[in-house]
Amino acid sequence: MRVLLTQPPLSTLPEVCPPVGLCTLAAWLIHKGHEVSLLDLDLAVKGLPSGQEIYRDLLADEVRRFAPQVVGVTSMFNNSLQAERLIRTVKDCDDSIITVGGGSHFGALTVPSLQRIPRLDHAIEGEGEEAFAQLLDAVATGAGVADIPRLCHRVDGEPRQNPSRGLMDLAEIPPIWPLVDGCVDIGRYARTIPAGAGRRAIYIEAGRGCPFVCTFCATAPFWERKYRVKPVAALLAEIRFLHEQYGYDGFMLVHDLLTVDRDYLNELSEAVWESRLPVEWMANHRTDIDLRGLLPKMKAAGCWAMFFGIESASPRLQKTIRKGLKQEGIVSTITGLADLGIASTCSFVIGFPDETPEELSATVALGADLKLLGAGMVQFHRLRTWPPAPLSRALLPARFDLDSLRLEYPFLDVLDADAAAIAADPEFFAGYFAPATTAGTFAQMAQVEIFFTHAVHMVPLTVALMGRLAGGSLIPAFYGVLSRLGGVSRQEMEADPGSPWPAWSALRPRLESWVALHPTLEDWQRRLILGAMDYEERRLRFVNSDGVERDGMDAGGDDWAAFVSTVDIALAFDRLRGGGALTPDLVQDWAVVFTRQGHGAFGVYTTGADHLPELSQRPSLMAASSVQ
Amino acid sequence: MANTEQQNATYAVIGYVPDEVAKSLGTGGSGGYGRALELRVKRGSDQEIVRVQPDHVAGILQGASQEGETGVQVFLKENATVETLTRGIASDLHLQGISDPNVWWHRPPLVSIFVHPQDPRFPKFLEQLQLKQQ
Repeated sequence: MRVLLTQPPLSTLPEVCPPVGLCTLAAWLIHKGHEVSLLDLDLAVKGLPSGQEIYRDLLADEVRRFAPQVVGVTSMFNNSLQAERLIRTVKDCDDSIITVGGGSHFGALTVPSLQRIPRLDHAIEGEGEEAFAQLLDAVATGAGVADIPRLCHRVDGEPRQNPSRGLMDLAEIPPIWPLVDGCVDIGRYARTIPAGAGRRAIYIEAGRGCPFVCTFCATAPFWERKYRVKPVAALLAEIRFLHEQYGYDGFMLVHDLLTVDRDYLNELSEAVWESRLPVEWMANHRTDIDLRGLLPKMKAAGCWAMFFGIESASPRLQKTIRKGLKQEGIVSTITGLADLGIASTCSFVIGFPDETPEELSATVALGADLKLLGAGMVQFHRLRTWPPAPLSRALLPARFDLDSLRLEYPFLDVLDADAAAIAADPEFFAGYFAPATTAGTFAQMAQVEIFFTHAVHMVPLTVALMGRLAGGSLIPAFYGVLSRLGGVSRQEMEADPGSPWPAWSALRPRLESWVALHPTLEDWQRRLILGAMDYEERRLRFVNSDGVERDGMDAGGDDWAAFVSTVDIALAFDRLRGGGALTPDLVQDWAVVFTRQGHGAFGVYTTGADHLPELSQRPSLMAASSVQ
Repeated sequence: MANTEQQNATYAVIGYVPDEVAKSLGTGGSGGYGRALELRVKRGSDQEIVRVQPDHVAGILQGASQEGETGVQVFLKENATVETLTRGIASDLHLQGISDPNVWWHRPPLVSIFVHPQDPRFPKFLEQLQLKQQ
């Protein structure tokens, strides 16, 4: 059979990775003897000024060129409106072509997909490889489709969902990249990586399935919570191929939760190490999975980062959302990774239906604390529920969220007609509807998400101090600032990815206002926070300058600059990290010395304020010194 | 899942050496490398260096080479000492480092590595290292 697989435009980012799910399906169908063409419209429209207008034309051209008998369209939640249009395009070209929908959106909502899209002939629920191959066999032989597992089809015009017959053995999937090399232009993807990028990264699938039961998660039930992995040899063959043929050296291992199986990680680490391939990899992890002892081996084998869903600082919410993480484990895990030089990304979900502003305050404060403990990135995301997440079945009252749509839409401009179409179908497009929460109003929650994601990234010490000193009033006081000054805009926050200043100029007055307006802070506490903010602003200025930034500094040389801080910054870091009390003695003059140490490296030191004149005698402060 | 409590432990440092040094090291033992071994903690940066004396090295595993540097795990004998050198402020200036992760992060060079007792690759090597039961 001649099969065309396609993906609608997915993101506005210039760097594109091959679509893992679609490439796996393509490899499986090629393995089964079918002729496959794969058109990734996300890649195809890159660099075209009118991508939003022409992506359907690009598909029509490919349909006319390749003359497929079957077209498979994958969809994520953010591009299913485009997927729907692609199905119409295929049928407009040739109504006899069979259309099949899959992926995380159509695959989770098979019956609603067929109800909504009359020209969609079939949809496949969940894992698609076996069902798609059986459908092709049925089309080729004229057999019926009533027995094809997972297939949703029409009987007398009405959708009918066939039951599943289990999940496939991932060991049956051959290494996919050599197989799809003919129908996927991997080199074109590789060329979207900017020259000089520190890492040439690509997503590859390590396996599927997470056994945990978090109520907000759609991915775990999609893969039926069964942990499966590809054989290490197969995974390594994919890594080797992509490295040797296309120069990829960073592999983001796609798996809901790869680290469940410690023995597998051990085997993978040894295989990568023994391969002598100069590559790195990252994976999803949980802070309550114990990898003590194995982490150094993983690090030595190229593990550069781990991703964590922390979700909330609230023990109550950890229980109700069935995540079950404990704060001690969160802190020790992130600290342990930082000690090994393994980066971590910590993601939080905010706005659970019965979350309180006090619980939200604790979550934001924990995010800042983790950043101080070495987390590379901290993200706050408002709760949104997609099927088949258990929480999505609760039919929570929700409101259309144009802001999220703008953020995740595949194009920079969200057409009014598109927004209206999505807003009109809250059941099908549930992911763009934010549930109501007791933590704040709809607008307040949007501000918490964007403001504190950026604030924790830029000035974590300041936010950590705010959280520690204000406790549960961190967020209520922030709402007071919003009512006075209004919120920040996404345009302000993302105006210049290469410079912190547009975002900082929006954050700073609101942070200062928070300090001024907070109803219970003592004077020394206000001075402590403002002193920390001053330090962090100077740090931003120093590390983002081309040379040695001395504007506003009290002393400096060829490779250093210093100022007298009103806060003992070193002690503040130590107290926050060690859980020590914040006391008025933190507010006292200490000199802070920034150094530029070459290779993009910086240092920061403290000394007595009266020591600056002596330092000023030294043009350079750099020398080798033993620290242990 | 493996039981951590049943695993053996050894100590090692993980870092990077120039390819020409790696070639002279060999694998499995100290490789007859007579001088103090200096490992870069971060690939491509001599900001922080770990120094191990040759008679403290129990064995070396070599990993991948990239841009002239080879990753190595240097396993240590009991009571080995490890020296960490940081390029930084001259010590006579009496400056105290601030551990601000937005600027730099000093990490300990010594790590504990657990090895599964049924791991077919390591038993002989572990014997050499006179491992202690955890």
